[in-house]
Amino acid sequence: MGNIYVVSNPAKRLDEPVNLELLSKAFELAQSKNGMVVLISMCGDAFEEAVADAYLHGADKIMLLSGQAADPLTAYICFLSQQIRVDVPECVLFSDEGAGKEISSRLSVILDCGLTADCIDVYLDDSDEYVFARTALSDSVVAKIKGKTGKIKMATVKRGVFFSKPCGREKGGSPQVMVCEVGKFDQNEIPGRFYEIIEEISVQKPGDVDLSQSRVIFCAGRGVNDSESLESLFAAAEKLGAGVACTRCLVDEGIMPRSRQVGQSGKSISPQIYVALGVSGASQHLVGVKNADFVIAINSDKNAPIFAFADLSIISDARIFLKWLVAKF
Amino acid sequence: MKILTFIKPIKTELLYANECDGEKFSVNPYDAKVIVNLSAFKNCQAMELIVAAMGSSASECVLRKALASGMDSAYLLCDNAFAGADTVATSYVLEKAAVRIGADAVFMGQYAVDGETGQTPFGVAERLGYRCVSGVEELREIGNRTLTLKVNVPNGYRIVKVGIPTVVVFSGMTTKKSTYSLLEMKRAKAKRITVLSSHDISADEEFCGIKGSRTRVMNITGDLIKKSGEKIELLPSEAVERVLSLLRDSNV
Repeated sequence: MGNIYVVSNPAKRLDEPVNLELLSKAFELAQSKNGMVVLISMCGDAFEEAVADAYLHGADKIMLLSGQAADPLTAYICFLSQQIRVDVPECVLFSDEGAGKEISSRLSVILDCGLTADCIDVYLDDSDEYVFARTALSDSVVAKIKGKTGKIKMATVKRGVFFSKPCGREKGGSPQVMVCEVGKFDQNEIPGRFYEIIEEISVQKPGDVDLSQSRVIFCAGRGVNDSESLESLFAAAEKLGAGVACTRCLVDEGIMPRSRQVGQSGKSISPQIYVALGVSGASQHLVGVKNADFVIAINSDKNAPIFAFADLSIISDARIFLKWLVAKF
Repeated sequence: MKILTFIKPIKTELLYANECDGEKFSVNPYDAKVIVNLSAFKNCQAMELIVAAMGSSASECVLRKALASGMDSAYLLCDNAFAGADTVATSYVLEKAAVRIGADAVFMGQYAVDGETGQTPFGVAERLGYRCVSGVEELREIGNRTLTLKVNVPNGYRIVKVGIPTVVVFSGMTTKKSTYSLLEMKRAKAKRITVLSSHDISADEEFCGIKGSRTRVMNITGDLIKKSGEKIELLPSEAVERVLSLLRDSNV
């Protein structure tokens, strides 16, 4: 019997969208393995409707870690490692957001088992073994990865990769709920654990940008990361009623807000026309635009990988293109 | 205080296809941000800045650049046994190296642009048994046995003081090239880079590289659908006309 664990991030509700997505996928996989789907959380309160929602999306059992801990994350990791050692689930799925990355990475070392990051698919192959698919750099490729040793396979998954869908159970049912006290998992003896918050500064971060309604989207890549080009881009996009997106590079360099980032670690978009300006075309970016109807790529590098995925490839200087474009209005 | 920064050498052709400066490897841009940050402390007496990279001897050039940017000493973790490591095996080697070098704090970038797993720093912290402070934007101050850091949080940022030993993970990257003078590079070239093998760091080869990896890549496919669209070379002004006419024709 191959149980599957879905690990919720601490302080997140059981029915967070990403949890329901992971539960839906876990249910699908558990069906073939005749296993149970177990949702583990450290959310404190398990609201009745959240428990019911988790059940409707495939959770057979919910384990809650309850109580105050000096170091909640370490306590959660300690609890998870003990539980996984005892129950030996075949697959453990985590969200890649927030603490999910840290929890999964630490557990993979503690339990000495394989962990695949940011999967875009999880499935069973002909020999009933788990295969984790993720994108990899250059040549816009998808790597299929398997756990090499041990029985437990782990993966982090990005929100929005799987569909959240009820698994066909009747309303009114409920999963088995087990509550564990945090007490014995709370360790306070980590070296260097001195951590003092000196100052907390709130910053009004830019609101979310809705790119889902834009029929035309202009996307800025590293080739147009100067302020003059971006000014021209925003001005031209406004005149044309187009949305403005960017690649991760511009976000990580602090040039554009994360809400405009498209790709594996950003948003997925499906405009009618997508115009990539100075975008090289790393696979991590391309997975976010694969649903665009028509792709126009403008890049001065005639070997830019994005050209292999464009309906119209224009070898031209994207910076000068923007100067000419804005001059049209 | 000994601060050890792990940097990953990335093939230059993957990073800067158009601006290859003759070096086969470049510093991972996420790690470059750490080096830029630390170089502001290069004259700080209280701190010894050490840099280490895992890779072949050809990747020594990234260590030279880090030395020119102000790092005091450099180590190259070079052994055939290290090749083909996943994050579990990589974190094993890095932990062994950190123990061998004797670091009070380990600094790392959030990701490597080629792997993009973001898992290794947490694995290193777990193996060392250190607290891991992630989302770090800036190193502000060095205390006696403390570091003051600016850390990104969802609704802004916070200034924290953390005790050593610790693992510090910077968020974000920079593709701005480090600036150093010719003299600084000349001095960096004169410095000795210590090469460490699996034996030197007391690592068991069974836990290194492919042998020690807990995942294996089955195959790599171009699952993203390639298109055989039109490819043309146009002057920017002509390109504008072409794009605008397409937008008009599509009625969007």
